[in-house]
Amino acid sequence: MTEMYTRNKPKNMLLVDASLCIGCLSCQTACQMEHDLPACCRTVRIVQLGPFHQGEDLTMSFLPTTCFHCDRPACVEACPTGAMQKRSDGIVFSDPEICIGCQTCAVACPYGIPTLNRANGKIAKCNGCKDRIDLGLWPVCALKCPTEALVFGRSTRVVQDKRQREALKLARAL
Amino acid sequence: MLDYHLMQRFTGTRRDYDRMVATICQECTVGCGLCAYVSEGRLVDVQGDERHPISKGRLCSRGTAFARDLACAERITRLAGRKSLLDDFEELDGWEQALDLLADRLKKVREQHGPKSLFIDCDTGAGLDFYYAATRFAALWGTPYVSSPFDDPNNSGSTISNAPDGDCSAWIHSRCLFIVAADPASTHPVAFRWALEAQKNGAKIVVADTRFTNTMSKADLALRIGSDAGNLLGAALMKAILDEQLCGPNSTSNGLDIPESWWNSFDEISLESAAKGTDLPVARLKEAAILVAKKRPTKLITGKRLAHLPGYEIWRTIATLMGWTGQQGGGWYPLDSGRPTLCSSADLQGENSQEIAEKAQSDSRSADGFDTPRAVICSGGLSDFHSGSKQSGKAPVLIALFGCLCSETADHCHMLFPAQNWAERESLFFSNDRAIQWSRKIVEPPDSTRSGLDFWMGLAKRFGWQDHFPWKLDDDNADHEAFVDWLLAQDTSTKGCTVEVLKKSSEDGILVHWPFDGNQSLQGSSAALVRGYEEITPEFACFSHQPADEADELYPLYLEVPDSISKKAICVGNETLDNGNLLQINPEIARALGIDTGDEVVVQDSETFVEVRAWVTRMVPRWLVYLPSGSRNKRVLVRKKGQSGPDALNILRKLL
Repeated sequence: MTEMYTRNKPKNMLLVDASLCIGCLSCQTACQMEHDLPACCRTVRIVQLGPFHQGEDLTMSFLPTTCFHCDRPACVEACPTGAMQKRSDGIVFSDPEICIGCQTCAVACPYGIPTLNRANGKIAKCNGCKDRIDLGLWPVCALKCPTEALVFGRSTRVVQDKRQREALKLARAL
Repeated sequence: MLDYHLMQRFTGTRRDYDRMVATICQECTVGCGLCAYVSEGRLVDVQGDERHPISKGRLCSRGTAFARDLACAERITRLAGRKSLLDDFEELDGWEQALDLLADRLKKVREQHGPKSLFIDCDTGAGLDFYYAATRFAALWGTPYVSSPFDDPNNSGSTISNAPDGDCSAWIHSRCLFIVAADPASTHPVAFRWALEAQKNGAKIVVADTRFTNTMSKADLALRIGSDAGNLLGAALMKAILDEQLCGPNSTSNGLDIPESWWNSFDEISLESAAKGTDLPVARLKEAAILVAKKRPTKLITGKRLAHLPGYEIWRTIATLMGWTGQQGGGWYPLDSGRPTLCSSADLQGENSQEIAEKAQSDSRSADGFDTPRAVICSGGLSDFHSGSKQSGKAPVLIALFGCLCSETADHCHMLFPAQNWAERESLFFSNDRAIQWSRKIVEPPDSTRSGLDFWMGLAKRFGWQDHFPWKLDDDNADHEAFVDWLLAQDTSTKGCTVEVLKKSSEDGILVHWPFDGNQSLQGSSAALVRGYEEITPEFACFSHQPADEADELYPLYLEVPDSISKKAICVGNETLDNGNLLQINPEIARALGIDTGDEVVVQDSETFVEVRAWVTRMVPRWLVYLPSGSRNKRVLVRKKGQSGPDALNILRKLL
């Protein structure tokens, strides 16, 4: 069963190119709307770094952060009810039917990703838009990102895309 | 040009739906296409429209989050009224009774204080139909005081000379983008993506602003300028270009008939003096001038607030003189200026409308230009002048709010009229790119709500002016299509364009632009554009800046607020510190005043004060504070809550 599942669900990847992020919060809002999350739950979060002094000038950047869907997720190991699960395609998600809101996963996660949704007392975290992916659709954060700072696809294709972007950068510089 | 297309995007919704409506987002002026999915009359999902030429499937946070406004708890759904602000609201039976009551109270105000005691404040949320019907009603009533964020200084819209050249998607062809007093990365992120695409292709981005904005964080050259110095920067840039002889040999034949006096106006001042008003070092100014002039074509992108400062036409002058106008990726792109000059009261001859229109041009932008209004009809948050009038004891005797959501204004009004959201009505929309679009209704409005046109038609009927508002359907509701057809026929730049044309172009995935020339193409006549540019006169050097007055001594900090159209992107229901309504304050000033991030602070000027929480950040320079929700720029004093005003003033005087 597991092998068949693996065969049918190839792994995808979300590429985050922070150099293209403009801090517009489109991804964050799209995620909240898609999953009916309240303000306290930011399963995609834009971290603003700066402005910092760099010589006489200032510099500022934005870092979109979300669940890394770890290969060996500590949250899954720690969950006492089995609500936190990892799919065969790599997506780590929390099943709200089973979750008791104990937040053990939040403590276990080294990145502090799972947060408590106070509206329903369950854990909220990025579920990789698994329901959309099962329908062959992109996750909403990548789809609505205006600058293509978030790109989604098969890992081989995303890596190829990243290589081509860098090659283009080099070619243009020359 | 080297080009590479990303992998295919797979779009759509995972939710069950009955129908999909392809329409236009009206949350800002970009005019993105969106696909709204409706199930059993309820909006269940919103995605970007991949076919739309402007947005190509992208949507910003406002375009996604508007859906929550349709069914949120703060929605105004009942007609209500009260005699005084001390009374509780009483629900009114229906629109007929409510409009009768409003008309009676307006008549009394008119008898006691005259027609010019009425002030109409139009919010962007109420839509263009509310604004245009309001200006028509105002002309009939006899008041020039109609305020709207759609307004330009000429109060009627943009002419071709101060409207954007080309589409934002053409920014990708620019070699340099010079962005002044605007933060499109925050306010128009979908348009700004084209600037980043250009940067990927080797273009340089130069950003000049008072604050260190999201847009500036992506700049190759960042220029921190003084308050209200945007147009001064334009003149100083022109001076630097002339001094460095960067104009090129054919500059005088680029469509401008330049008189000798124009050259003299720049010769008479040194570059050092020109740079002084901008707070920029001369070397930095020269660096910007060389970059802008050599990396051609350059696109000049300016913020709306510059339109209200002297010397605004300098940007058209630079673009034309340098030969960028008309080039793909070059020219001038003033943000939020894509609306043509449409006058909805020009046909009201004999009703002294011309006089009113002329007076409105000079007065409507300034709250100081007229007596305190005794009656106000507004469609959003009231501006500062109202707070001032409260302080001076001249509060209006009647405030009627026609709005969607409860706001602070609702607490200060006498009558509430529930309005339709833009997603609940068919409407006309002008995007930044001079595109004319027809926005389709997504869901049916709540029964108790009406459109802006319905509101004004109902009120006009009570004054016997129904013949001037003839756009009526059989069921007595407003015929928006007939109104828009009539409105577009009022100006030569839109004449011939009809709702039918707009609907068809939308189905075909084509944008209709103004000036409209249906016989030649749907894209607008390029010949008309060129003619329009030839008619402009060059802006003379203008380097004067206001000297500090006595009030500056008492209010040493400068409060900057966003343009009312260009609000920052939002995150749904923000409650936490990092994105809320926080006062941005420089760390050095904050430290001296004992203010830390999250502390409650008081921001006060001579008339008003507000209490907000602080966000200590280097985004603002020492002399500036920034508030995302204010209504106008002004000088203020900031102090920590509990700290005395004189103490804070003494500290600030030593620092600034």
